Amino acid sequence: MYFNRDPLIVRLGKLAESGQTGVLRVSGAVGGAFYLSEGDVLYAESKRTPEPSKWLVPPGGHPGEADAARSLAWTFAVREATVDAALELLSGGSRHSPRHRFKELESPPGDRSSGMSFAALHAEVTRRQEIVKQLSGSVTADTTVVRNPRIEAPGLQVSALQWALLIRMGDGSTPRDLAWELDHSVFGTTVEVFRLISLRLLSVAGLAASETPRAADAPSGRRHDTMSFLRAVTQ
Amino acid sequence: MPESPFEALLSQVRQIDGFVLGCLIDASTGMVLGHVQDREDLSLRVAAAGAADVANVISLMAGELAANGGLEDAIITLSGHYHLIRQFSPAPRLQFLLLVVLDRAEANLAMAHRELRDFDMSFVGRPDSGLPDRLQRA
Repeated sequence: MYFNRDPLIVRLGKLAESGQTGVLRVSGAVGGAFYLSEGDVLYAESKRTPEPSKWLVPPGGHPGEADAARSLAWTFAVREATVDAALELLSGGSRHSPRHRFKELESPPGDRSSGMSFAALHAEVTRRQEIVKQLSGSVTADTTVVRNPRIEAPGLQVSALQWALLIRMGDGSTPRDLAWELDHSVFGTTVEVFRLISLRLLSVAGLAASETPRAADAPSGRRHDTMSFLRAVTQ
Repeated sequence: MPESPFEALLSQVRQIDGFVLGCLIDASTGMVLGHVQDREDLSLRVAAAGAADVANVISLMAGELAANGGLEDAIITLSGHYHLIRQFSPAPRLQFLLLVVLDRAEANLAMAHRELRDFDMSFVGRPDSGLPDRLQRA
């Protein structure tokens, strides 16, 4: 059989459990690939999430403190891009599991020190899916948001990343558009946009700041004013 | 799986008296990047998520107050443990949280706070962000 009919997450789990090395290619609109080495996920990519910043330089050849910082920056960028792509691929919006096929490779791309075990990747994707659910009452990766023309507070403070998002906001941008522009993760950008909505600097297009719905907790129907990382791992 | 650079970094805070758990968290997403743990009686996921929530709330408060500066550190005192949460930026563009949990019976809070600050400060001014030289900050 050319394509395997297992759900993607099941197939990935089986390949990891049997210590496979190669690439699991996923077809369809949210297509992409998982690269495995001896069962660990070295890297993942999807059509709808950016790769690690093209400006980053992989470490190597420069021993010392500078290389340690390069190594941290590179490992973080690769891991964040991997989890971001995995969230997209494993949360596929379609009713049918995407088609996928596995091909053995001798040396898949990626570095084992930035890879993750399947269990760690699955736990992180599940945690992010819970946070996406929390945010879904306010904003998703594909919600159009706009800058609020009037700021009621006498002063507000934002982080460097939040400022970078604010100055790139056009007539209508989505967190996904901004993520591609900044080479930043789609999930991370969505969370930062939610924080900017909380600060009333942004609102969902078509809604005044005061009308922007707060994050809703879908399973219980209770509404929460804030995103909670703790709730995402305890529920 | 070989040791990641995050775990290598954390091995330096393991020397603090009363050390129970240390972990590095991405401040933006709450993802645990690496951890070292001497005792397994503490849930890493819960401690890390709690630390990320605390930092998130303080950042929102600082944003609303226009406080001219963000979170530096936070100390949570429980009856059995200290949780030290420190904003940690080992390279430009990296905004991490460093969480260190200490056993109260064995730890010296003032010393631990200072050791963690010194550890953080040893990275300040690090010139290399992983970007090509022409894009490095001055």
